Amino acid sequence: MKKEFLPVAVAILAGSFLLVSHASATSATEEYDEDAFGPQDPIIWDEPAKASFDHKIHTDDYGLECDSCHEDVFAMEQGIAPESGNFTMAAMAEGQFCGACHDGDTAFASNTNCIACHAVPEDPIVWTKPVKAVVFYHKAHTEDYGLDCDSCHDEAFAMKAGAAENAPDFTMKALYKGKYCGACHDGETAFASNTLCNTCHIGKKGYDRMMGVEPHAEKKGTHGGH
Amino acid sequence: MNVEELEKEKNEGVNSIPSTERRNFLKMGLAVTGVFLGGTVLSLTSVKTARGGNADSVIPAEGQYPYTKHYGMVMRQNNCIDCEKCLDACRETNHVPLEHDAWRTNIQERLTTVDGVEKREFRPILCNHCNRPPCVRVCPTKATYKDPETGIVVMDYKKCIGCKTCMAACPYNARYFSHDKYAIDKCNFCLDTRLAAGEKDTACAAACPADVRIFGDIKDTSTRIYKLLHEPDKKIWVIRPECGALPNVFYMNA
Amino acid sequence: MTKNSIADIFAQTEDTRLATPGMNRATIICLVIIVLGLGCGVASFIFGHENVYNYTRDVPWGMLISTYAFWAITSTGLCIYAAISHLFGGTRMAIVSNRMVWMSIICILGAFATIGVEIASPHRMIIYNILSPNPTSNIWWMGTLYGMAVGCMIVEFFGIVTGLARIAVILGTIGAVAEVLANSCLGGVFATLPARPYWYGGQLPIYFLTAAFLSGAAATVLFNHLAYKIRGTEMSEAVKDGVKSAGKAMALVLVLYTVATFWRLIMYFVGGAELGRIAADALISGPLSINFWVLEVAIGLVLPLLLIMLSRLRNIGMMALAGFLILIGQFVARYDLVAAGLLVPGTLGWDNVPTYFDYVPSFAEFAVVLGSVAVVAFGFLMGERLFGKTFDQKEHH
Repeated sequence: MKKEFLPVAVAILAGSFLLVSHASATSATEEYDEDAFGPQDPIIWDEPAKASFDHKIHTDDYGLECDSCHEDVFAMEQGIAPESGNFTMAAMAEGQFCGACHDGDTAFASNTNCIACHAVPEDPIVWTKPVKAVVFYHKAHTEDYGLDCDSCHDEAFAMKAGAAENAPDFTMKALYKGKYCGACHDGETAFASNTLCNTCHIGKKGYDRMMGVEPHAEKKGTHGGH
Repeated sequence: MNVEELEKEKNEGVNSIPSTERRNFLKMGLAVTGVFLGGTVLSLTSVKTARGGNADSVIPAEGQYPYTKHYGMVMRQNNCIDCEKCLDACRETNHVPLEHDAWRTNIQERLTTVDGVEKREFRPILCNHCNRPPCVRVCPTKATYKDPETGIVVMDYKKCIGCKTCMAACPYNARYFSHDKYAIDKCNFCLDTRLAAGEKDTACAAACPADVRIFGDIKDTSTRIYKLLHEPDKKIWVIRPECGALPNVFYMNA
Repeated sequence: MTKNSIADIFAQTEDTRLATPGMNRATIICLVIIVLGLGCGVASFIFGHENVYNYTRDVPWGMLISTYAFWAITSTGLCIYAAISHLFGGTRMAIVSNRMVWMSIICILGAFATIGVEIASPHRMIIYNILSPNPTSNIWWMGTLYGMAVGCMIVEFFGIVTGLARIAVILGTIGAVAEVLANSCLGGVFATLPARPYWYGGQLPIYFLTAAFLSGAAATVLFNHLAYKIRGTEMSEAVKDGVKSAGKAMALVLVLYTVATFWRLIMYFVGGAELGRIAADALISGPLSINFWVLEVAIGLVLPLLLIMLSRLRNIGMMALAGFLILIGQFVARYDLVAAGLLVPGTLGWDNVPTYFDYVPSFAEFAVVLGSVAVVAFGFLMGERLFGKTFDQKEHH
């Protein structure tokens, strides 16, 4: 699996690197015109999942006009798309939002090339519900084990942060039935989820350490004597 | 012998000296220290009848319990994920103040690195309600004693003079000085807070989502703890067996 | 003589030479230190035992327990020598034995003062030691026997000052036996705890008894020397002989104690329980190593041995200095023994606990120790003044 993934990953990374470096090259030489090309800084969405959009790449590099997207696909006003409640990959697959162009013909399909817009989270995900605390490392799964985003998203896990955690069935029992982590951690694809508990369960102690909570001092702080 | 197989075995260290060795050594200790130790002559419970079933076992044998009920706990150690729901349940049920020193049960962590990969283990601990409890022997005023009904080591707070000898004597760090009670406090398997009210298990066992803590009457062959303790081919161990306290909290992997 | 009133008794025993302003000042200073020092201990009953003393769940005992043991052991030593002298007569030490009985009482009072503020609820002890005794508890036996011993010795001392030699000898003997048994139980408190391999074992009670013989002899030499120093007079030849005998005993037991210390430590390094070895390592190279090598060994064992050799068992001043150093060493040795047993975590390897727990005595602990020293100093001064004539006897029996 790792071998198959590696060239793809390299290609994607190299591709995005080229795009970025190209963009920065233009902005370095010419004065960037925000009126013509839109805001210089990328738009960062936090909801429903973290993603970014760079006006410059689309306008300056690909030559799109403002009215290619505004206001048919995206409202000019900030925050309208995420507030719509419909700003999802599913909607894009139906041609809404980014999906208007990112359909596989005009531009790469919205269900491919995830990391063009989404980044693999650097920090581990730490779930504190229903028990404290369970850790998940994106990096280990994508880089070390060669998984793609769609290996887990959105079937096993919704992209939206905290979605699984707040679901009532995010339990070991569900995992044993093949839900969530159990989709792979079934004893065949990956170690069974009823084994090696403490690989993911770092406990309250592990959580405190990760969050930089000082372990209890040996002596409690209420000292009258000296 | 297959050396590779052996190397995979966990190092048991000196803490797992065979019980026969231990007992012989302890018997010698009893003889040497004579009247001060009391041993079988003076100790409060008939330790002779509370011993392990066979020479290599830490598990009490059937039909040899001096108490009406004989409560104990099995820890399925590798299931523990340190969620600490047990600690919260214990504090709430038994009104244990939220101070570092004050706990009736706790979870210990051990981090090791195996082949560059960090490995973590959690181990729940609490009073072991030993059959030969060092704390009970050393208490000058019988402020701590084995409950004859249940074998639970309990406190009579008003008799505690606060000499802290029981704390020094306990191999399991199960005791602490409670400012509220102005006496030593410890786990009593929720005897007053839950068992007295007819509950069948302790607060910590009830709160455990990972089925780590199995509480029950070792004497009763229908209990789960009895079955776990008598499962063939399961390795069962206790903490610090060399102290000869004959603990009633047993550890195994699920 | 028994019909004499108390005033008459004091008239016969009081040493009026010591009714000086200097002595008064020293006595008052001692009293002030007692009040302030033990006051810090009494404060523990108000502010909370666990707040005033640096005890934790992990290290439940500390310097107060070791100080208690030090005074109790010294008391036992003094009492044994006095009883041997009284019982068998004839020994040269008999001439100073009355002073030893008094100082034995004073030392055990110093011990009681320390333990009295060390335990959390002494009032419960008074009640439940009687109402709910535990015959398997070393603490119970130790407390009861030391209590008995001090009772016997007080009556014995009354017999001495009133000239009731028969009562004095009988109760002195019973008191000494009680002291030896109590001392042995004190050793047993530590020796019977398998959870603490550094203490566990049959050797420790004998070690404590050896320490009693050492501290007792050292205290005998020191206090007699001081008794004549504060008077500014020379010892009579008979007293000198008595003190020299004590010096000989001190030298002999010093060697025995050194041998016992050596083997006691060596045995942890040849195998056995890991926790015992780590505890012993605390003395050899760990957090207690300065205490051990400098105070226990160099100042408490080697230097006194050199001083005794230099004194050729004749120079009493030099032997008194040796005795003083031995007592310092013994005090530290008790502390190290208690601390080393407790500093080692029983669950080493779990929770990433340190190899040694931290324990530094709190201000209140130091204050109580100073208070207990003042108790003994005060008792010494009062004894010399009120009963000086009895101590300064020409002959006994």
